[in-house]
Amino acid sequence: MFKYVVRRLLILIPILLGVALISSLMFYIVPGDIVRVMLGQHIDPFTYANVRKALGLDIPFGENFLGFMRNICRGDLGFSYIQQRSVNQVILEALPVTIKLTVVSLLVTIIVGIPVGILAAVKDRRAIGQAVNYGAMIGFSMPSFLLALFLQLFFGVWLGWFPIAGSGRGLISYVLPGLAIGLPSAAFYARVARASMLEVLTQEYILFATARGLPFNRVIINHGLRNALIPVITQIGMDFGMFMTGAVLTETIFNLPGMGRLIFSSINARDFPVLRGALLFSALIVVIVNLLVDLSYIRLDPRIASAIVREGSDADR
Amino acid sequence: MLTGKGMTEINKTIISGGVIITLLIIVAIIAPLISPSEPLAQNLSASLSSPGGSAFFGTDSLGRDIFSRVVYGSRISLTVGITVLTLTLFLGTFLGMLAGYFGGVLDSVLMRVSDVFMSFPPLVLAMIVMAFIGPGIANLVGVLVIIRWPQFARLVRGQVISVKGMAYVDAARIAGTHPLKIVLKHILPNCFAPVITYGTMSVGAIIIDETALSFLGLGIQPPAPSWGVMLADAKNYIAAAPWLVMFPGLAMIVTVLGFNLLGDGLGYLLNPKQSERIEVTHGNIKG
Repeated sequence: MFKYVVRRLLILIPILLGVALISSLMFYIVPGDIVRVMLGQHIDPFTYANVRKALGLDIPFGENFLGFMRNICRGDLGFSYIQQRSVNQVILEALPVTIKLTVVSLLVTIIVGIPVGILAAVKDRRAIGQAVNYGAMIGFSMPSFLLALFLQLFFGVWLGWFPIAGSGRGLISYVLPGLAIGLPSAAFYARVARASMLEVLTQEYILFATARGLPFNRVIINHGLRNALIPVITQIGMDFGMFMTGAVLTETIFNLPGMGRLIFSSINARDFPVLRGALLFSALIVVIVNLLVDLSYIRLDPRIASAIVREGSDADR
Repeated sequence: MLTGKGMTEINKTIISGGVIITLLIIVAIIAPLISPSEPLAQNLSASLSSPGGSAFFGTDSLGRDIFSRVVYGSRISLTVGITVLTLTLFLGTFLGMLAGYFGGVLDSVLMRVSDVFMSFPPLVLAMIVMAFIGPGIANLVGVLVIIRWPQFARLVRGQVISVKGMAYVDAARIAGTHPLKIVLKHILPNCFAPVITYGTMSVGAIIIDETALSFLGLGIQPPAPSWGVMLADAKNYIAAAPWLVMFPGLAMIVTVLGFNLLGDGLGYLLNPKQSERIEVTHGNIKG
């Protein structure tokens, strides 16, 4: 078990190195002179030389990259010459917005998706199950940026219940963006929860619990749900990672200054140090969350744990 | 045994998806016949007129007919969707097959490369590359292939590994069959069921990607009638002219729904066992 965790952590290193390498290569493969692309054609030669030096473009790529890696190990992601602030500061400013948005979106997803999926499984052959099934299909076919526009239209413009842009009104500002990101995901969760619940319901221990005379609700909640939710939990973890890297489109549409909009604006402004920092930071979150999901999976499903233990002892021999 | 879905219902799903897609393809082909005006034709005296009257779906800020633009937009979406799918299928199948069949170092390297690709959020990766190489339909297609190949490669690799261990493959190898023939004739055909399902559903996802990038101004460029371009324009008039959002948005939902229904139905048909079916969202652009 311990060995498995160590091995998984070791695999992270080449992945993160790859991301760092690709995002550092940006400085070299971008068409044109990167300093002029970033700061305009008409900067004075003194600033030009300084920035070039500060970005390490006057030394070979390998040396520059090693320097960058050294700084990363010290927790320093670099300096934005366009914003005149450190990249760490820029990212730390955007992070709270994205965390709030992620939490709201995940809440929407879980609160709507799981109960609806369970309901659809329990009432499988009835009209309600079918309705959920097709409803989920439609929700799942709707990209969140389109839903974002529709929500802005209905709840923002026509009903006037929620602000259509900005983060100025506290959590209220996050309701519509959270719904836009959360609902299409909820549709997917409902499908996963339904499929998984249907499968669990055919198992013999469910039949046995029913035969023992347990009330139907208890069979579903105590015996069914526990096993049916394993695939859903994996998905929650993956979505957490995905949402944390920033919802570029939704944040842009609702004008929320989070990670997604930061990435978009740094691409548009050619603010490469910020872009590289944000990419690396996002990748780090995604890989760590995925690792945690895999580990939690082991706790939830003893069969996986024993498979890993067997694999480990085989390797020891 | 079919859990949860009867045969008639599977047929219903496939047929409804198939009908939607067939109708879309017909609309895309006969676009010039059914559009009342050219998609780029401006009529400034009739700008932002509401649906009904002479313009069925209304007009935009430059007086262009929304119905014609939505109809012509289906050409762009379908072309991009199907081209990207075809290229991704070839690339993903080729790489996944190499990794799965030969294993070893090649496999590790290919999988780590795909890990790196997949640890960038797909939309962000696409945005960066588009910002570097500039907009345009050929660049857009290339970028969409880049963000999507890892999923196909992994899917095919997994299939190849599970098929390669079967007795008939060993038999073919012992009989001295050329590896190329083993791969093409014995292994690949048995990998295709999930690939077909995944591929069909991916078309919807690819169309969403294209629309999203065009919406951000990094894909198809105005004045071309891409649904993403139309939505980007509509965003500025959301209070004054809601129909600008409604019609391209609905066209998009129906299109994606069509491919998802077809893929879902095919998934049940080709692999009725619930636990082995793949659910498709990985790689879809969220947020």
